Amino acid sequence: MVRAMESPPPYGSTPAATLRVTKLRARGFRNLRGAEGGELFLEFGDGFNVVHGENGAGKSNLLEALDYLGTLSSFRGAKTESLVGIEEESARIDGLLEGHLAPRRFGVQLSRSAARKVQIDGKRPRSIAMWRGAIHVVLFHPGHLSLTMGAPSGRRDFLDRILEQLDATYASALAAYRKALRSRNRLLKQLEVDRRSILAFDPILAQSGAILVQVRQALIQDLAPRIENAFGEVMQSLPLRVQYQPRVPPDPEIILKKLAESYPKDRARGFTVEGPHSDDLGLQVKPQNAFGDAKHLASQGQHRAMVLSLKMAELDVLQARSGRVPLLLLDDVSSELDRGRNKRLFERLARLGGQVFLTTTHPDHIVLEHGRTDFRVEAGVVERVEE
Amino acid sequence: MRPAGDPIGELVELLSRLPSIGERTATRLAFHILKREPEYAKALGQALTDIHERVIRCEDCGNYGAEAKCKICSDIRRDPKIICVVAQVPDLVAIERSGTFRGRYHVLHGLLAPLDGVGPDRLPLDALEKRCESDVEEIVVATPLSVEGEATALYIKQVFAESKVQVSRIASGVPHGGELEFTDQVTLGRAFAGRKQI
Repeated sequence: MVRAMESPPPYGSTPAATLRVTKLRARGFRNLRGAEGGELFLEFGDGFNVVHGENGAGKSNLLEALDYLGTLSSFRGAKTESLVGIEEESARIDGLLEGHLAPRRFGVQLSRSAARKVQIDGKRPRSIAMWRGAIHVVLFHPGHLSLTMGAPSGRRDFLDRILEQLDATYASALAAYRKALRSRNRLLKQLEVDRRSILAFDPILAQSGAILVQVRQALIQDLAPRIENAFGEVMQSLPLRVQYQPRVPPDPEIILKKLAESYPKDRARGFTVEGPHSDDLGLQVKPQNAFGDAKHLASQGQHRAMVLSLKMAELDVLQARSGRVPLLLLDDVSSELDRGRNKRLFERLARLGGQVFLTTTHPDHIVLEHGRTDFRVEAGVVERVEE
Repeated sequence: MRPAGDPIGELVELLSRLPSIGERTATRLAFHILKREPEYAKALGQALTDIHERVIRCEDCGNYGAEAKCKICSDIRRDPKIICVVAQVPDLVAIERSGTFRGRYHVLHGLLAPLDGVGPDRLPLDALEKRCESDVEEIVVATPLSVEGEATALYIKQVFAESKVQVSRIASGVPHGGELEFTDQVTLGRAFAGRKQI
């Protein structure tokens, strides 16, 4: 197996370039619009961009537009129909991205009736993977609290989102794995089935599944100590242990055997049991003498700190592996932490030196002295606040 | 009397339903047809009218042709011992253009796709088995490298597991004349996995 990913450089080996969205144009995207209606045009600051406004004004829509530029999907799981503004036929987002070689223009056109169009510097990119590799975005929003408290699927999505940005081989293995898995499950649910058609998908699951496990393993090796460190910085008294809990080893032969063995069980249940789609990222804390499942042992506040630690580690790994500081999008994060922790969080973020976008209902919740640019949102209109 | 309607608009609408033809190209084509001599439009119309009646699927391989047996199946110089399985007729045309394959074909007109409700019973695999009862020695599966294409290949392999017929899969990797640095990582990965001793 040939691995496409280079090994991570050691901490602080070379100064990483900082990715920055310096200009953004949006038209027809959700409720976003310019002051005179029509197109929204914004110039952002290099450091912290603080976006404030009432609930429902459109703060998160701005973050969603920026996140969409990076991932080409909505973090709210919204389809194109809901991203295009209610009275619009199409939507367009253009961002000028600086920080890696010369500035580049990223454009997305969404339409109710036609396929999505993406362009880099006016040209169609060779692949979606190339696009994802060019803009790295780390996102935190309140829904992410289920990351540590909820089902394993949220933690798998967390890993997948990082790796899809870093590794085109992983992204294509994941797409193949998901399709093969859905196909196999569909067959398993049928009353009568030709066993050979199920067996036709097993080698595909085994091949792509082994890649998923292997790459996730390598990622968590990098990620785990960083999550543990970041958590220790905020919650000094509570040790955290992060472990990959793969369902199957990274070996196609063994996965194939397991699929064959569990066939009667799979058939009875109507879905596939064995494979990396049942992986988990195990989080354990040690409140007293022994480590135990964080889900049951950590408090609400500790869970918040844990989620933020996961996000900080994500940022760190993306930076170490790509040599570029990703964009950081924080949706309403200040309400998650008390004033003291807020301050420590922003100090840490400031040290990273990346461009940060954050939303809040009250701008004075954000404890920041320097390097901030403020924006006010009202009914979809975003305006820069000049001091 | 025919209703007046909008003959140009209707033609544009029909043309723009074709793949890779947008409304602008459709408009250009419609006016071009209108400008040329009426004989051209008549011939084009006739060809379109006839296409479904005149073109039939070959009873052996499923290729399109004007007769019960297609040109390739009725060509006695083609090697009957080797059959290449393709998903669609354009794939067959591409292989023919290369001129490297001298055997015969079997067109599936689809792929195993449970998510679209296509099971093996919807593919002409019984017919393939029947053809292989004679002197066929090898089946080359040239379905696409997608999940469905791979699954179809793996299904066919099982169908012939007990038979004397060899089932092989076309190789995949870097295209000839292609530059390594511009090859995507998945293709490069496959090329390395399928490397050969020289």
